[in-house]
Amino acid sequence: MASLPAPASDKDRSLQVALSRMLAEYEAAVREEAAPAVAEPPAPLRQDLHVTAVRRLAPAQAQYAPFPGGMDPRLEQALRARGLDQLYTHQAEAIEHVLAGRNVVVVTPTASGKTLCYNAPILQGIVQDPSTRALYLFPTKALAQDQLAELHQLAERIGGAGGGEIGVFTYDGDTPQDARRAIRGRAHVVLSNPDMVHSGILPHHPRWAKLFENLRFVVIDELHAYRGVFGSHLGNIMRRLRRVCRHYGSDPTFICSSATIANPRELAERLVGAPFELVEKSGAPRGEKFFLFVNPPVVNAELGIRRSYLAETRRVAIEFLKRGLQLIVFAQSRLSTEILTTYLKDEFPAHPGGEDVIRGYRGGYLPLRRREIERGLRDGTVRCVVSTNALELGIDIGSLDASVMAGYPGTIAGTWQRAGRAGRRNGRSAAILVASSAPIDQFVVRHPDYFFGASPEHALINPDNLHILLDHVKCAAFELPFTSDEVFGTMNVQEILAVLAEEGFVQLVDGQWQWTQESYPANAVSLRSVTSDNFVVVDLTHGERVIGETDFTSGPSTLHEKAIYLVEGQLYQVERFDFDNRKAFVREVECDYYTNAITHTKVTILDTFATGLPESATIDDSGSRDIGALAAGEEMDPGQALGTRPSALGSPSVEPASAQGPVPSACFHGEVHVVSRVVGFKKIKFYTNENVGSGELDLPEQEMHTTSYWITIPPGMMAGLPYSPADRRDGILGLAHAMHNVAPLLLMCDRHDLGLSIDGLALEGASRVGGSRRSAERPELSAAPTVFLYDNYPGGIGLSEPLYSMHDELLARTRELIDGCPCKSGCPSCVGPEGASGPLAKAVASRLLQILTAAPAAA
Amino acid sequence: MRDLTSRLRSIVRQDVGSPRSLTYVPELPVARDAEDVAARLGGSLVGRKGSACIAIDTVWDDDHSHGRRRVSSYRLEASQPLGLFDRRAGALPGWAERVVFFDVETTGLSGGAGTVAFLVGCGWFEAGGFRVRQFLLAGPAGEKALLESLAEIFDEATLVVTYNGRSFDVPLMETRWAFHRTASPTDDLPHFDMLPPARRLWGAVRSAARSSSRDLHDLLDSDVADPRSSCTLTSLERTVLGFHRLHDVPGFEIPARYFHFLRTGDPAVVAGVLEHNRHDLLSLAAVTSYALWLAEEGPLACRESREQVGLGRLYERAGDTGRAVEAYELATSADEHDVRCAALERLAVLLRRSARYDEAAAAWTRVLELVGRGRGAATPLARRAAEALAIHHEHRARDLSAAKRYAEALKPDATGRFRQEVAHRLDRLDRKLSGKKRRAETGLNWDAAE
Repeated sequence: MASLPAPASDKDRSLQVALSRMLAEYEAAVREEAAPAVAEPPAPLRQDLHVTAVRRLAPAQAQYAPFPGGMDPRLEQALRARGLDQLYTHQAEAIEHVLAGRNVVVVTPTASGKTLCYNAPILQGIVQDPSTRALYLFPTKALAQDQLAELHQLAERIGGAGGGEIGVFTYDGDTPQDARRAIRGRAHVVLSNPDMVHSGILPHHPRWAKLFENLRFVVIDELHAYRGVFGSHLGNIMRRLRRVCRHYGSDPTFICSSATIANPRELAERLVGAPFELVEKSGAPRGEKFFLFVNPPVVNAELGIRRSYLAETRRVAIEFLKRGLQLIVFAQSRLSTEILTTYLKDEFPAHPGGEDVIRGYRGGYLPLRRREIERGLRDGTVRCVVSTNALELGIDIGSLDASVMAGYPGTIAGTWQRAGRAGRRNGRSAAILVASSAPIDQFVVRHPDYFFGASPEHALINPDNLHILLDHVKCAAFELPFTSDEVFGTMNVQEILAVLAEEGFVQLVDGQWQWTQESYPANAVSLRSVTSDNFVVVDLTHGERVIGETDFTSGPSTLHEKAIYLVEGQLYQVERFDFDNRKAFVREVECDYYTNAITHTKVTILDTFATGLPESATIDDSGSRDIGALAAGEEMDPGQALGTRPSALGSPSVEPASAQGPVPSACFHGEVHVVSRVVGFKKIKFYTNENVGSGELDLPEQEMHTTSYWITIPPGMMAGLPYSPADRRDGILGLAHAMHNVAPLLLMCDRHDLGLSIDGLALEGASRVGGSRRSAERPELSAAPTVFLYDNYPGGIGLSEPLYSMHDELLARTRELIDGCPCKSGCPSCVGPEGASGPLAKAVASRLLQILTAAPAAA
Repeated sequence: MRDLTSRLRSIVRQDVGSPRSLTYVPELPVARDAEDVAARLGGSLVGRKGSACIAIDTVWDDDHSHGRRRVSSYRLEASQPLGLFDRRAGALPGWAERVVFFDVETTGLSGGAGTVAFLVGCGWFEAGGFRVRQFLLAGPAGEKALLESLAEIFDEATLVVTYNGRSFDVPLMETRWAFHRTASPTDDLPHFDMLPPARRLWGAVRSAARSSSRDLHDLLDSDVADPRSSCTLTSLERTVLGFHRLHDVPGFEIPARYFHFLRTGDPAVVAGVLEHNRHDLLSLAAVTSYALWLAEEGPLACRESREQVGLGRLYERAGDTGRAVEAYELATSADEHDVRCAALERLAVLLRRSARYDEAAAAWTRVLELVGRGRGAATPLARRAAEALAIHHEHRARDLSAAKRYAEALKPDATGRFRQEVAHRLDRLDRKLSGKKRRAETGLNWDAAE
């Protein structure tokens, strides 16, 4: 325990000392020569460096441009009054596009003045024509509130400069009913969020007629936040919005801002359904930043076990805290956020009666607590915040000195964004990535160039996910009857409407599909998940008090009876889990462990959409990839293990091709049924991660239909492996483990977004917190084992199809990971920890991959 | 790969369960088109073919009976005191020239762009009888024609009378005009909503201390709680007009019937809805007329004391204290306990407001006799009465011991802040009483000197 020093007076110097200490401690030599923007890592590169990369990102000078011609003098005057005599180059470029009526997406780092890119042209539009209306969308209510103050100030200055009164209002779930009418009439700029547009504005568009008739601008801030389910929903909301705009005769210009991702323009175009201009060269100044990769030291070389990355993160954070620096620590999950908060609070306890200087922050905290923490960060009373990705978005938390990431955030884009939460315009800052033993972390930390050199990932959305699309077609039909030749997105909406008509949702009358239900469809659709249900957490310690909430899917695994639930380091134990009423009752406890749920999952194939053989494995003598070869894959499928399977391929089976020698594997894309159930939990001790007990649970099943990619290893190939059946099984498990970790690298997704199953049975999900993973059971595999990687959301969010098309790359990268891993016989970073994966897992998996990725020569 | 339709079906059906259907079985051959529907319902098309709505006219002759009276007796006259009900409407010059009664049937109650008024009914008196003109949508294409026709009727109206139209029918129609991007004719509509005065007249007799501005939910709740004071139009037509509907379509079934009509094209299923709407309009006219007649005649014309209290409330709100006092006074001899209590309380409050303090105190005393029964001030009404009397005796009548008696009656049931107030009052009374005693002993009786 230590007491926290006062905030550092010379932050640059303190930061330098902290970084030097870190490097000195690990490397005994600090390299601080004037390096190029991206310096070489310290040489010689040893096999197991603790600091595997040091990069200095040079400060950048501001690049200015004059105000574009055609800017209204009143606006210019207001900007000058705020001390803005010129614009950054990217601002000028974006403003020019908007003034010319072109949709634009601006890719900007944190604190580069992105808001001016949209505020300036929009305020100009309003000044010149006061009937002009604009709609701003932020992914969260908090971000809208954040922006309100700034926009308000600017609007007032313009009003003062003779620009007339400009109404700026937020409109969200917190807006009082009696204020709503006034806002509809008086707001030039409405700041809202997709949820409110979806359920509060679009279904009531006649009341908003004034807005829609004059809607000239739509701003989508934090565009990169709209990927996966949320993005797929937003894509449909934009279809609905533009449809309503057409009805009122408007055609707004869209202005999007995004953090760095690989495909900002493509994402904007898919979300909005219109072409976009891209502005990506920032003219904003940037302070010097050091980026370090830290790999916790190996403590057991045989087993490939490293020191806990959470403990390592704690050490790094303490280095900064000791020197009076302010920092943010990003953890990967709600659980690890709470664990790290506990660790750091233990180290720097609050003075009795004093305010906490170390705070936790995550989704599920109530809004008031969150606002209080954000304020504390800005005014400096909070010295360290431990957060999930909840703070990754652009909520204003001031300029922090360091960003420490406990574990690789999963994507290059996400990592840069978290790193960007620390940084000042004219000072030094640091970003530290502490790798966990997860394969993806180990891959990144050992291949720094992969990270520093590669482009960030693509943000994928699938607005045509049938579950999501259907919901929005209903909403759209309620808003405006579809005509019998209308188009909505890329799917055949007429066919969808015909099915909805069968069930009485709509009826074709007068060439229009009229909504024929009393209900209001938007109420039943939640954008943040595929289902809108959630669980609330009720604390019984001091009377009944709601202390948090959890989405429906993760409820059973985090709120089951006897689970330990953490809020900012305070431990609660669940006394009763009321599944039907969606409540968990908890009570404060003192204990030295947390819990981790054990979930069983079963996957059944419903339908196969596509089947293919990797190009490299084409059978040479057949001359073409005919149905026989495909059916061979089908025939080898272990039917009984997978349950009933509709004869989707249609072709009668052909002799298994095992006689032809090594047979290529087959990969598939299709629809699966996933049933999961929480069957028990483990108690894991803080700090040591010892397993100190377990319990059984009996909770209801959760099921979903989703899409999946899967690969089947032919029996011939399995039989041909020169290993015992048990070793072969270990090899398959190891291969699956590695594939599950590589796939998120190829898709811009979280590891959690993909479910893993072998032969339809689950490999228990490895917990990043627990460190070690032991599979409770060793299922027998079928003769032709199948590895499923499925979209972990009902209906799928478009991950499995690209995975299917990237089959070759997936196998090649998986091979790279396994063969490139320095461990002897498997470690948590490739095929899984040796104790759990079996002694020959690595060798077998490697051999399998060699065959699978082999050129036709293998035949 | 399964085809799109079957995949869609599996998702849609999973969400809705088994499809629901009406028990209604169509008997007639279904209609081919709007023209056919119109013919079968006895109406005609309005607007251009392909985008027309159906207009159906019905006339009740003057000597037709609706409830206890004849249709002709329900005509409104400019001399009637509409201002007692709605000051603004009553002040409209020539409001009685063309009064249009208005009521819509919709595809739902939730509002929003997808909620449509598929049936719009207007009724007015003309030479020889009461005419109802209904506009029905055979499909969405006819809505513009419907809105145009309605706007014409509104333009000619000198007064539009609705039942709960201020919060439902009119805003809903405004949404429809906005939907079609047409200027709404309702901006300066001479509109009178009969619901609020009906609630004052016939709604639950409740204590005056509670707010008089209550929303529809309150109204509906109290309707359920006390059927005698239900203010739905159908219950008023029974209790006030003596009209009983046969085979009426219940309100909750109306949207489903319309959807069924859209799906099957069978007009018979909406015939009952048309009838329901027509009855609503005629009853609205009759109830409005009866209420105006009653307000004009005064409390002696009331059939029961309950109505006299209601009339008193109407007069009181309109600022006619004299007639309000008269109505309440008549009601104080009611047989029903709750009616008497309410009448006495309102009377007491009004009398005090008119500075008739002793009469007010007498009314409060009668209230206490009715509800006090030596149980202290257990009910809120008894509490209010005892408090008023304590104040009266302390400050007006200067009978401190009587004031103390009333204040003490308040004590056992007082809680929270009120408990403190009672304690303060008692302290003050004690101080005054002991001062008086001392002064009496010293021969300085200031109170007596006053």
